[in-house]
Amino acid sequence: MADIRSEQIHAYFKTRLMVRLSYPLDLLLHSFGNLLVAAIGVVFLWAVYRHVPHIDGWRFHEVLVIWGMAECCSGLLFVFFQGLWSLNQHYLLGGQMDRVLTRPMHPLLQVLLDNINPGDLAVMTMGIGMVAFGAHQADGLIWWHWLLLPLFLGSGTLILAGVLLGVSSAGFRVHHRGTAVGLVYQASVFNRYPLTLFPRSIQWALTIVPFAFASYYPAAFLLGRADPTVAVLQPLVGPLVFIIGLHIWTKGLANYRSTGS
Amino acid sequence: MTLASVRLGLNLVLAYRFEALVKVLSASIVALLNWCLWTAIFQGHTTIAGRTQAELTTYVVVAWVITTFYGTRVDEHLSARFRTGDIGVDLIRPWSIQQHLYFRDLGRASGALVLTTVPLALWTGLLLPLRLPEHLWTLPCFLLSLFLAHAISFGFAWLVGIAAFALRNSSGLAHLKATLISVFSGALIPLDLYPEPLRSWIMWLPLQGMSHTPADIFVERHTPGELVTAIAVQGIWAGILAIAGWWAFHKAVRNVVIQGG
Repeated sequence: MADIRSEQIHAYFKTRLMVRLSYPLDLLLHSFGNLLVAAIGVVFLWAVYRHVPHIDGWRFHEVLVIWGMAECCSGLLFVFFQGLWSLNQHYLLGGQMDRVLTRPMHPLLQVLLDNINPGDLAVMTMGIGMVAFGAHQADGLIWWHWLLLPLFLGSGTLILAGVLLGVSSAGFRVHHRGTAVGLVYQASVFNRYPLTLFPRSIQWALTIVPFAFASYYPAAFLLGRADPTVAVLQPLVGPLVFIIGLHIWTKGLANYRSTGS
Repeated sequence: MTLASVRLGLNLVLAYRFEALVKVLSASIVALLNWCLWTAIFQGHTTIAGRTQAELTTYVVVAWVITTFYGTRVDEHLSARFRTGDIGVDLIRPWSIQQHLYFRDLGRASGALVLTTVPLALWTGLLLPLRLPEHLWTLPCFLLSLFLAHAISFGFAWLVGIAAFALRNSSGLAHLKATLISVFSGALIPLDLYPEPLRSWIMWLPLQGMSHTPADIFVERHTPGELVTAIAVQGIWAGILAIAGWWAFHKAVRNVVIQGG
């Protein structure tokens, strides 16, 4: 892979962003749709809490903080890693990967930048809003813990991205329309709820995968309901998972065989 | 002719068997999540909104499982035909494209039923303590309702596809469609858990015939009289949507410009 200067990446990023912004209606509808999806979650939660005061000891505003952090991480994931969703259909089955491989930039970077999706910053913003609203209703919070929030969110996004990278590399081996990637999205829905709601086996699975580190553990820590060791560990888990995912993806790419179309 | 359309849709599903497996996995994740969530919510409650725990947990699992049957992407398919100009060929063929795509999607749904919905139903039924129907007539009524749910889903997606063509937008609308369905069909939560007047408004929409009606039939919420009404309402909506779809299609076709080929 030829070395490429950061200005060139910057220029590529800028042109891609301009392509995205050239269909403002599409972008607007898309972010509106995603925002609606996110908002529906809140409506659902609110509808449930109209009937019960707490779920397994968790009150509405606490779940809102967890949910908001999960939504934030998903939002950031959709902004920067949207490309992995179209990897199978567009790049592998559609043959666009051949074009990508002839260019002097890391293929992953091209796939990601080609699909950069600023519309989903709206979802992230809404997630922040949910966290803020939930935290506002809680009492006994330690304010300086909250300075760690950006770190938690960044690491949380890297966790999701790392797992997504690993799973999406399956497309290099098995030709399919990319539904395996949807699996990651589906599983990330667990991030919105307190871990204690689930059976022991699922709790373990989510700690190992380690989705629980994306939102539940840091949120529980911020709400004063979890061990501080988690907070120390969490910012390390993200980069670690991401590096593993990147490694699997690069290994998978070496197996790439063009469909010829 | 009809049978050929059905077979075409069926073959398309069978060609992507890996995808069906992934779908079973991903849908069971959500079914499991919903079940855990509602089990936790029921701690210390015997009924919520007049529903017992067994009834509600069964509802959320069934309502979700059947989305794998009726969920269609005919909107994307139709708007792509407009965009690429394939619609020109469709128009000179001696049969109705709406009918052809309906039967094709019915084939897709039957394939999904065998490969995804039934395995998913069996697997969740074994894993989770669900409430099975007591009356003999529930099952045929449920199947009829499911068939109509698919017709409503198709009719709605058809209109979305035409709207996507009219607005020159597809990804944003497809997303919006998924959102509307997840809220207003009752796929996530029984519609009677929403507060008034939201609940009454939703009941006047066709989308409630997609998950809410079949799932409520499965958990035997209806008296025999209500059962007949519920299925009749589904049938009426399916008819209205089909006619509206036919009308919108002929309106849209007048504006099509096909640029040779």
